[in-house]
Amino acid sequence: MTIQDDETLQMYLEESIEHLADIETDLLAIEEAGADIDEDIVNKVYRAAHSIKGGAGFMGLTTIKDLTHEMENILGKIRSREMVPTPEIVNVLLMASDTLKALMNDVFTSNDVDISQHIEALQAIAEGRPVPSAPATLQPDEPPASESAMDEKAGRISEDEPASKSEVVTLAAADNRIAIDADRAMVEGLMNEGKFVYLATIDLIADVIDKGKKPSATIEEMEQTGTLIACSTSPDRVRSMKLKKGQAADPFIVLFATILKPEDINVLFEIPDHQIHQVMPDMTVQCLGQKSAAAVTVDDTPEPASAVKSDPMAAAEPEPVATPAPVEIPAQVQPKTTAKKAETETSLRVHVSLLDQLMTLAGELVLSRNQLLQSMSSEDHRGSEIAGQRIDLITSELQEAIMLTRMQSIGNVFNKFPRVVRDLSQTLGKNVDLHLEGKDVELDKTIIEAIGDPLTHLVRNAVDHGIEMPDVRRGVGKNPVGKIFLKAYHEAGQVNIEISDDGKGLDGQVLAQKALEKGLISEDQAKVMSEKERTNLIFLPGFSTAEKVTDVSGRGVGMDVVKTNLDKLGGIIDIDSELGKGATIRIKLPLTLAIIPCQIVMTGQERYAIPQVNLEELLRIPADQVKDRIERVGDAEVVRLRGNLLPLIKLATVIDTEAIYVDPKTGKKGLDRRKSISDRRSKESPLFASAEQDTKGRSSGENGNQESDTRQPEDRRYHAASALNVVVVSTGAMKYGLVVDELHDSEEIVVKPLGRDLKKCKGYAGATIMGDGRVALILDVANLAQMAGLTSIEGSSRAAEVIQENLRSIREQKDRQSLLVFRSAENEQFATPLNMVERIEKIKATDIETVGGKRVIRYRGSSLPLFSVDEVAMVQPLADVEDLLVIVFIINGKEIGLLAIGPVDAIEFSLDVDGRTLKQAGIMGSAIINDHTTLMVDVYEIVQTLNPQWFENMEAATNDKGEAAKILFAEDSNFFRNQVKSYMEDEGYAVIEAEDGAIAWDLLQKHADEISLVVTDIEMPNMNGFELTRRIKASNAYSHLPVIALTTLAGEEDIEKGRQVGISDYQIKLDREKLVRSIYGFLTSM
Amino acid sequence: MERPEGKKMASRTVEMATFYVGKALCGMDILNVQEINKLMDMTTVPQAPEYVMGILNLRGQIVTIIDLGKKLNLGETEMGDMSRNIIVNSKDEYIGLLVSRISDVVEADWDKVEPPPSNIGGVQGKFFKGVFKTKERLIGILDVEKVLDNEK
Repeated sequence: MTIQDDETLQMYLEESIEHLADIETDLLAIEEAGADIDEDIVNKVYRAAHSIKGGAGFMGLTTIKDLTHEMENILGKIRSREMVPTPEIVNVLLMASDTLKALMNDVFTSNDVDISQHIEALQAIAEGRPVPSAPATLQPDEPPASESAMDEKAGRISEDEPASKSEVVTLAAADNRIAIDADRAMVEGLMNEGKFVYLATIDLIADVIDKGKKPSATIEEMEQTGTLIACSTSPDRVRSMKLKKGQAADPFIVLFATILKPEDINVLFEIPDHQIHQVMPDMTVQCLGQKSAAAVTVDDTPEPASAVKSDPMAAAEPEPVATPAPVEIPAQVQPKTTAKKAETETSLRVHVSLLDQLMTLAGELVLSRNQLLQSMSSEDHRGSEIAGQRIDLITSELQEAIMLTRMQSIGNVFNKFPRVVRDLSQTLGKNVDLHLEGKDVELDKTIIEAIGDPLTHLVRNAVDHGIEMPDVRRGVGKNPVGKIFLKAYHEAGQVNIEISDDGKGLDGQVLAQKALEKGLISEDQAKVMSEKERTNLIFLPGFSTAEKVTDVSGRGVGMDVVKTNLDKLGGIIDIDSELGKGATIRIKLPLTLAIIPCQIVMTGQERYAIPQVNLEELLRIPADQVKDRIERVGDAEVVRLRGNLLPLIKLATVIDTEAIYVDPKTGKKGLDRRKSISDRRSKESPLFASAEQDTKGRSSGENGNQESDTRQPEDRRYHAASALNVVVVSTGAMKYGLVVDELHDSEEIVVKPLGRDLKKCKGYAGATIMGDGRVALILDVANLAQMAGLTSIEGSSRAAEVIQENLRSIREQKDRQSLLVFRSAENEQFATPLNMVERIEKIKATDIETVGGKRVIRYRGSSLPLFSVDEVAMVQPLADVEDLLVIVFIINGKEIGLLAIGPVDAIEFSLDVDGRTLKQAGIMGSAIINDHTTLMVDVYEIVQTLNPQWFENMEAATNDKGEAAKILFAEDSNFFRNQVKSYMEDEGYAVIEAEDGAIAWDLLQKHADEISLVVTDIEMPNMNGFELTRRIKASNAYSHLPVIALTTLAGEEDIEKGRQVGISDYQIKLDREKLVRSIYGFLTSM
Repeated sequence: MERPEGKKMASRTVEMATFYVGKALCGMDILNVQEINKLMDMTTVPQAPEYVMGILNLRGQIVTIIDLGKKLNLGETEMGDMSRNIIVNSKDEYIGLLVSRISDVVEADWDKVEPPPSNIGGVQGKFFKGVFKTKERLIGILDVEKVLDNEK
């Protein structure tokens, strides 16, 4: 072999590997096109093969040259249309390109690899003969000669020579009947992941064929439950082998890593125990079968091994790192070793323009530095400031540009999937269409490299377990061709990858049942879990085992491993499934690992960084609401957040530091002595005290606390500083609130590792250096949850308990509504539904302009019209203060701002609205909120009064269609019934009211012909909205009626439940516009 | 013990950076010392082992600061004007040793170094390579790798 020099070779290899990647996709395209040959593509492949061949000839890589030569011949014939690319031909070509890839990876030994089979197959095709022994289609009765030759070769290496390289370890059973070489690092790596490594001999005839199984299925099963480290025969070959009963075949030796325990392993293999050996961490091998005489005991490893006569290799085992001294095996370097080497020496192609850009930036940086130094030495502050700003700017640009050099498009990963899907679906006899989207999305190189395996696993899963067999699909009325969508896109500074299929989906019930059997969850937990939580059980460590492959829907084999891998990347995985319709797996990944945006928080005088990936939202609970919103369930504290309950963890408690409280008046810092959050009574407020006693059942807690509080004579609990700051974080499967002392900014931080003394502190993912030079720790939110004893299941079961409680209280009380409370005049409180509010802006009174008799404010380049409540309603005029608030609403597609003053507050309130006493124009009613009579503002009505012209279009449209439309409206609350009814009547609909579901049902029977739409509340006495919908949808006469459900709090669960019973749409009460639009939409589409 | 580093030197002498840990005078081969500083603006790490004072930014590197007094069971090192961090590089990682006070650089002759008594000044003997006698004082020579080795 005349290898020129390393650099040239490296370049050639890189280029060729790129070519090969293209060849694969192009070959698939050629196959699809069939006889309708696209010359461009064929030419492209031809040229690629040709340049590989040319380079190989130059480098002296004869094997590669020969192989590409034959490929080129066939491609030439396809190009000249002498040949039609049938799937068989493409198959052989693909096989050849696979072999080429393997040769490239191990280029130094490539000339010694036997490729006669491929050559033969290719020549046969070229000559138009039937393919005699194409690798894929081995003749049934012919034990392939070359294969056994290869086996012999492999066998010889392991028998005759001690492990040749330090990275390669030879594993052999004590009696040396079976032996195999493996990459030591890989074996150890897998062991460190908590996997067991087994060395097994499978007699393909006795153990597989005779039991009525297929070799391909066996391999498949193994690949799904673990990792094939090494085998005596390549898996692809075994897969394609066609063996008959009674035939003799070489035993198939595999080295296999899996999470299955020794006592369970045979569930998978189903072979006699003595054929399975477990590989111990010290690389010795122990037989599982008791009857094997040569069973090696763990303790005294060297002895039994060396006891075996004439077995140098087994003796070498105890010190598996065989001497790296030159061993005389020049020809047969272990392929694994070299392959590994080639991989680590990869280089990256960077566009010259990008390099130029980097150079320019570096130049600018130097200039700015000079400027800075100069300004500093001449003490020119202004100059230093300017230079500083420039450096700031250049640094960010530089950072971005450098990052770009590391970015690779996800297409690199995606492109291999068409082949994976094609091969797998062919093996399984399924029809699958793969749609790729977003190949251009770019990610950091390290992430691209690491994402490949998990994604492959997910895609394979989708084909294997998601998509049903064609006839099954036909049976359930689906297109026999299954669809898998693979989609990547950017969102919020992260990359999202979605893998969805239209297969059978996951059955949460079965999954829950399995988890129960495995003792991963308790029965009570299983009962209260939502469907989504059940689906997500699949990610629980220890959930996947072999038997599930057959039992359950099958998804989830190794899913926990996928999740662990993604966790390492800082990614998040989530699964959505609908039984019978398919499943969607969503993965969120950071763009890069080195620099991550983080939220900075403070606890106990130290700053901590929480990666933005984990951040859901920030929550501030004012002191006076803590009592209402935080409750204790068992030992846990939870906060009500939009109808759901969120478990709370105090950061200071988890990491065992002291929370700090800042006195708002003096700015003095003191220890925060609150032990538990809900324990926030005040000595001055009997209300708090009694609440405290209720929740904790303790009546004498007052005095002790009083004493300790005397240090701070003022009652700090009324101050804003006493509010709770909660960072809502999610770790994929679970979401919780982290209580911290202070919230700071979000910053981009550089991740630095922690020293070895701190490796044991699980709560931190690393450290970073802040702008002031101090170090801040980066929190690992998943581990924190674990440290706090919060697992997703626990969290959810706890939360579910409280949700039950919550629901009960909702039923007992009235509907809860999120309201925004504000004031217009100092002593008049107003409220408006929070969901109608777009945002709140702070403005100065002087910024308001009066134009054309209307008040407006310039905002984002346009004028935002303003109004105040007193313009329509008979209330006190807007307070004359400097600082005003503008609550922005969108009415009929236009933004409008309501002038108000603080304090504003968002509350959840069990609405008991009095729709009569204080009702007037612009006010829909009143309620008592926080001991104040509060007027509910009807923003819609006010705007309508002020700007009637805004509504003309809409109403006209309605009049055309909705003339005679009659709507049945069921709602138990008088206030809402009147309110919503008036909305609908204003739009020109006729409304039939019902006070609950049962009445509505009766009314529906009576007015069956007239009613064209049903609007219903969910929570109602006698018959709730779900039941009503169920009945409507179940009857032939009414099932065509659209049902719009009105809720105050539309939780995901409810929406899901609603969908199942057939609710057509969810709308939020008092959001007039959306409701009207939805009604209009349904009526016109009918 | 055999000291290969000593053997290489013709005179078998080694320069020692000496410092006080509490009241005990200790020394270490000056070649182990990366730098000595008095940066005390550490970030505490809750839940860290007791002897870890905190972490520090040393020109962009995160350095773990270890209270040498605590580590050697000589009691907590009091932070004062005289206290310093001795930054050592061990296994590709910078670690700071907080000591009470820095003393002189002393030239020690390996031949005169005596094996450590099993218990010197209440310190576990295993952290010391030996004891060197100067005219006035005894210097305990620290085995830095052993001190920093957490696998006890």
